[in-house]
Amino acid sequence: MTFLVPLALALAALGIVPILAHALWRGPARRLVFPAARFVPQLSATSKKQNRVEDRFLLSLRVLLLLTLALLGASPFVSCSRLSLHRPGGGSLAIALVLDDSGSMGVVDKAESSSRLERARAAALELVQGARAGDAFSIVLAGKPARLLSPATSDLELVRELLDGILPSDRSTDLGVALELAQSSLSELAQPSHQVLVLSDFATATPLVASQWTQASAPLPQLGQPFENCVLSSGQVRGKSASVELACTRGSPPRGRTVSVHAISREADGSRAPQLGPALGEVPAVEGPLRVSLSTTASELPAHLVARISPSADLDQLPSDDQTELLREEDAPVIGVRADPESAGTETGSATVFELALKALDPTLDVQPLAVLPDNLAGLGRLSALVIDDPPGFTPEAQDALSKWIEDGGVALLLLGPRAQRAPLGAGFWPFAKRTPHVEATSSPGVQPLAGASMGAAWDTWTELGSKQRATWEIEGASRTLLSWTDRTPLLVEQVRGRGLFWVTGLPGSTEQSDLALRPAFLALLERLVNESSLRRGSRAGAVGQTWSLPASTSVSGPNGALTVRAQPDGAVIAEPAVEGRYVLGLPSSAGPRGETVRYATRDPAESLVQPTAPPAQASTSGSATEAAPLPISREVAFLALLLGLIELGFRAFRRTRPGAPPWGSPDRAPSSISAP
Amino acid sequence: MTSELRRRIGDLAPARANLRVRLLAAGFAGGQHRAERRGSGVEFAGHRQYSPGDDLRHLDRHALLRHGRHLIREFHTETERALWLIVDASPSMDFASDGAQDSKRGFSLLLAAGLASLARRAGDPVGLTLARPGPRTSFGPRLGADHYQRLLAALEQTDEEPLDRKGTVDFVAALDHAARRSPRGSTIIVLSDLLDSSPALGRELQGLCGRRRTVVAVQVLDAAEADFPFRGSVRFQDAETNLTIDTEAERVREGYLQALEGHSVALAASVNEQGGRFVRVLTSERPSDAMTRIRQAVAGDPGARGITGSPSP
Repeated sequence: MTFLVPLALALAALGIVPILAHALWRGPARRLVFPAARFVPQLSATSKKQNRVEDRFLLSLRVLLLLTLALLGASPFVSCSRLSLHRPGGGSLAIALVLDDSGSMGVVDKAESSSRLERARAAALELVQGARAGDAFSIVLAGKPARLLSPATSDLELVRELLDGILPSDRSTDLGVALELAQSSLSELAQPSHQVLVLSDFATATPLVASQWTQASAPLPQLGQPFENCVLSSGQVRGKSASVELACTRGSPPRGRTVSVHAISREADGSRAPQLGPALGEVPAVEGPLRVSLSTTASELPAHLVARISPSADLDQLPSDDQTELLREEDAPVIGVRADPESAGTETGSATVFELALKALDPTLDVQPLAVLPDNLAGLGRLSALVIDDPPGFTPEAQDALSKWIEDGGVALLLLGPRAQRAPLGAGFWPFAKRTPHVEATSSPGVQPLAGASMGAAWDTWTELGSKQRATWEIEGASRTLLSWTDRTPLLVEQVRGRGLFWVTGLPGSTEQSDLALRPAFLALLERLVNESSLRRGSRAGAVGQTWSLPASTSVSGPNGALTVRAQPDGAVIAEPAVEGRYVLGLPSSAGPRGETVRYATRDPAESLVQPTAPPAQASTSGSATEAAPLPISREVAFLALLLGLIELGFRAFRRTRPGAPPWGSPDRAPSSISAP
Repeated sequence: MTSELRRRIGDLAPARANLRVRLLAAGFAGGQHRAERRGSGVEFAGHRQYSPGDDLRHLDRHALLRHGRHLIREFHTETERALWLIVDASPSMDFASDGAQDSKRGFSLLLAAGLASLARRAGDPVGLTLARPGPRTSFGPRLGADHYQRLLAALEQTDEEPLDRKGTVDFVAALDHAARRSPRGSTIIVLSDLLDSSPALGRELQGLCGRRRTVVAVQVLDAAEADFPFRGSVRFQDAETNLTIDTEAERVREGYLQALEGHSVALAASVNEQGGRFVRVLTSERPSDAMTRIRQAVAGDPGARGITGSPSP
């Protein structure tokens, strides 16, 4: 506590005055004219006023009142951990608040009762509290991917609402991009002083670039304390066993803890947390990969399984990552490729261009070349996507199986080539084409995207597509032509069929026939096939914070209830899961009932293990927010003095009027008919 | 104009109330008191031997037939009995604690007016001695409306005097004056706080009781005097003697009450010794209740010996 006028504290010495007064004052010699005075015994030697409880209470009140008045005169200031804004020159400020909402901000530091995120949010609100008219705030969230929560605005109430709405997440840390976003959000503002305030624990594996901190400061360095934590990741179920990876921060081994696998007996519904069933298997917790044998009386394992390290509380500082989802082996997408290695192969290997392209997109993809296209639903059922290159038609059984598989969520890409004309008798192309396609020579210089069917920048690489022949076909049902030749002959057609989707293109994958497979647009098409297959067929895990582009009207329900999705101009919706967990997607269906599929969002275990680092030196010295700012408390002290005075007056009034007291003879009252002094 | 005192007299002297004394009256005028003489009254008094000249209407024929003796029946003659009121209007009687409806002086004057009204209605002569600062006011016992009005006017005048009067009053001398002037067999009612601790007060009260007089000493006290409810350090001052007592009220309360009670008991004993009565009334009482107890004392109620009346408010 500091004082503006410390000398005024000397007035506190006056507190001795009521003490002396109460000690010396023996009460007034009340004079009463009393006819029977001659019968009253003289007691002058002991007629001292006795100190009563009331007097001691009054004495305390009066001493306190004097001390409070002395304190008020000294104009006290208290120092607290409140943050305030520094105003160089006194002008208005443009502030970018970079608030780290990554997973490590969920750590509850020792000797603290709230998480780092809550402390950072409270600090941000304190900073906004100190804003004046004309100050502008932007909010950037540093959880990966870094995003601009609010552009610079002077609406402080809106800023407070947005800060209040920030929720913890399992995202990784993306401080570098967040700083760029923060600085760019201030670039156009007219305020004389631009400041970037980073409220983060700086627990990131990505090195911080000092050049990004020219305007930034870290007003809460106390968030960067080391923490102890263990995290489960990479959970998967294979048959009757589960595998999971356990990692801990240095120096905090999982001694005495166990890892168990549970079925979710009741899913979360937004208001209630998921309920765990009994353990299906359990092993002692040691760092590294763990295998847990599962035992269950049921013929099949429950659909939703999680691994959990327990006990959770008190043994690490980030309990939210002590549980992870277990993905099934069959949840991994399998993409079947039916292509002739002779025509669609490459000179450098035996794999076809399709296999190479798919592996290039995602090495973890399970791509299976098919020697023969399955002609039944059981054979097709394990595939999430199918690429068929230059087929000579399909048997009637295969056509029927393909139709049902697509309607059940299958995603297929059919590339028509010269073999289409050599379809044997009885073979057909349904459901991709109404009748056998026609192959013809072409001299068209390329393709053009149709209006309203924008496929992105990569599709421009097909504008000058070279080919010798092309197939033309007639599709049954409603379809959408995405690309066409310059003479308006369709090149790429998309049709949604049931819950599934397929594309048909008039060129084969053979590099001898055309350079379609050599253009980036081909990779874009395959990437879309993978995404659509993972969306429409089977489950798939993705990183927290990764956006999901979903068909229009898709609903997403996750661990925290319904997930808000953003609608895109083309009708699709974007969902961005922020916490790890199992998400159920309600997919629209063009025919039949609405289907559901499951996706998983998984956290990066590094986020839970990387210890905080010190912010760059510039950040701690170029700060604009100062801690321990002195706050005047004269108003509170004045209220206290007023309250004490009122209590003193009230108590004296009460003592005068309390029941049982005589109407005269008290120190403050004399009988009216008696000649009082 | 009707004064407050006159207005309140009606409450104290209802039509059926009277002021009868136990002792026989010695007057000659017709009244409600039994006379010492026997005559033509209605209340049988006894027999005596016939003497020539006696009225034959009073010859007891039943005694003549039964015993053969000539006996004359005698009856009590009803006559008047003088009432002498001695009212202490000294400054000490001005005391009235907060909450009290009346001062001791006002209460005493009201009782005196009520008693005078009762006596007038009974046809008894009424006398009055007012002991007040300055010249003493005294009226000998007489009958008649004019005399009664003079008495009331004196009482009213004293009642209307302010409460902060100064001066001293020789109440003992007033008692002596009344003792010398009051007739034989009269009724004397003393209205005072009787807080004078000098032995002369007891002697004068005893002196009043001679000559077959009926004496009732009425001690009029304020509730605070009877209960002493004070607190804290108090300096008590006697209005008349300027006596000053510094004391701690709670601690001396018991001692005060014992001293007051001892003084009153001693006075009562001296009065009772000579056939008088001692009554204590409080100004917090209803005046009619106080009147009732005074009338009982005047009538010689056997239970009225000692100190009658409640010592507490």
